[in-house]
Amino acid sequence: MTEKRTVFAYCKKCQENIGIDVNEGEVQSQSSGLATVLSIHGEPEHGIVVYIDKEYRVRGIEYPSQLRVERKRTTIIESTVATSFEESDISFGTLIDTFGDKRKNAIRNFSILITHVLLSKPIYLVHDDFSIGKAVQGRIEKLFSDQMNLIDVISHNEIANMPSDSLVFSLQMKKIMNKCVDCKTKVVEDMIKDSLKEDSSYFRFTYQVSKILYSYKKLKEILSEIDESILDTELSRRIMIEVDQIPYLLTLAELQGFDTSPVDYNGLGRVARSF
Amino acid sequence: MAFALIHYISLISAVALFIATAAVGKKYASNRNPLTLVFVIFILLFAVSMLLNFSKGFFEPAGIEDALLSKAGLSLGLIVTALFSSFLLYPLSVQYRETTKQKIILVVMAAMWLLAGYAAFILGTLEIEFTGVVDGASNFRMPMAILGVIIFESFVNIGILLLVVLREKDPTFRTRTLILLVGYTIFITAEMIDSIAHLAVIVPLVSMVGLLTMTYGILRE
Ligand SMILES: [Zn+2]
Repeated sequence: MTEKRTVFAYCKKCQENIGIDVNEGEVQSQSSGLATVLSIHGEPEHGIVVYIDKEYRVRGIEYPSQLRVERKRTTIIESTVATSFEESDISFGTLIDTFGDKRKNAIRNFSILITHVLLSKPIYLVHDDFSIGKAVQGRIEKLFSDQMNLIDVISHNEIANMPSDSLVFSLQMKKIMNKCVDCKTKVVEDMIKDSLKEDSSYFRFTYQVSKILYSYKKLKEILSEIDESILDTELSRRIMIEVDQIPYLLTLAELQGFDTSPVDYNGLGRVARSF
Repeated sequence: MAFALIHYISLISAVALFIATAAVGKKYASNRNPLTLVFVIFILLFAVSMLLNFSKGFFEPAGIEDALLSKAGLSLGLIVTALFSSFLLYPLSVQYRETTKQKIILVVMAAMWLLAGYAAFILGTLEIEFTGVVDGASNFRMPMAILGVIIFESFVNIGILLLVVLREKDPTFRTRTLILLVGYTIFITAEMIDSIAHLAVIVPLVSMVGLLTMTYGILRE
C-alpha cells in the first residue's frame, strides 16, 4: 500500500490549511502510533511539524522557530519520542461542563458561545469570584489560540448594564442571561462531541476551531467577490469544509450582512456525498 | 434442507452488503447526516432480503416456508425500492424548497410509497403459486402488479442516479456513484429477467455481480 493521502493541518503562520501529502504505508508503520511529518511551505518559507495518527487525524502541530529551510519538501521523520499530547491544565470535558448542569445543555450553551465568537460578538462571563471567571476566560481564549479579544468577566450586579448586542452567560447559574444570536448550532455541537471522544480533546477542539475560523474567513472572501451563482458542493471544496457544515456558515454570513443568495443547494451532489 | 448454488450466491451477496452496511454505518457515526442514515437502512434491508433468499435453502423448495420467505423477500424488495427513491428525491426537494417543483417532488415521493403499499397489499392477499424448481430454487408466478411497481420505481431510481453522475463534477464522487449505478442496474435487470423468464442459475449469478459492483462502489474511497 503506497497510496498517497492528503492531511490538512492549520498553519498559524499562514493562517491557512496546509495540505500535506503522506504515504499510507509510512503512516501505518509508525511504531509510536504517531507519524511525525515536517512540512516546509509558504513565502517566506517556514516549517511546521505535524503529528498524524493512524486514522490520518492531526494530533499535534509544532512551530519550530530554529528551523533552517534548505529546500521545499515534505518528509516523514521516524519519531523516537512517542509523543502523546497531554491535556492542558484542565480537561476539555471539565471546561464544557462549566456551561451547564447536564452535558447536553452544556454542549448547547458552549456552541452558542462559540457561535457568538465566530460572529465577533462581545461575551460577558458572569461570576462573583473574578478569578474563577478569569480562569474560564483564559481557557476559552486558548481554544482560539489567543487570536481573539471578545471575552470579559463581570459580576452579577453588572448584568443589567451590558449591551443587548452581546452574550451574557452566568457561570454560577450555568445559564444564558442574554444572547443576540439565535440559530441552529448542531455543527458546533457535533464538533464538541467528536472532540470529547478523543484522548486529547482540548487540542482536537482547538484544531477544529481554527479550521472553522479559516473556512468562515474564506467563505466571506468568496461571498464578497462572487458575481455568479455557485453550488454549495463546490464552495465546500474551496473553503475546505464538509458540505453538511455549509448551511451553518451561510447562516453566520447572512447574520453579518452577506448576500448568500448566489449559493445554490446541490441536491444531486448531496446524494453522491452521503454514502 | 435443500441448499443449492443459488442459495450460496445469495449468501455471498448478503455478506458483501453487510460489509457495505458497516462501512456506511461508520461514515454515519462520524457525519450524523440523516441522508447517510437512510442509505444505511436501505443497504441493510437489502442485505437482509438476500439473507432471506439464502435461508430458503433450509427448507424444501416450493413448500410452505418457501412461500412465506418469498413473500417476506418481496415485501422487503418493495420497501427497499421505495426507500431508495426517497433517498434520491429528498435532497432534490430541499434544493427546490418553497417552489412548485418541491411540491411535485414530494408528491412523487408519496406516490412511490403509495404504490409500494398497494403492491404490498396485493402481496398480502396473494396465494403463492409455484410453477416449478430450477437449479434448486422454486419459481412462482409473479403478479404483474407487484413486478410492475418494483420495475417502475427501480427505473425512476436509475434515472435519478444517472442525473447525479452526469451533474457531478468531482471525479471521486462521480466514479463512486457511477459504479453504484452500474451495479444497481445490473441487479435490477437480472431480477427482472428472472421473474419473467425463470432462466437458470446464470441470472442470479449476474444479479450477484451487480450487488458486488454496488458494494465495491460504496467501499471505494
Ligand atoms: Zn505555514
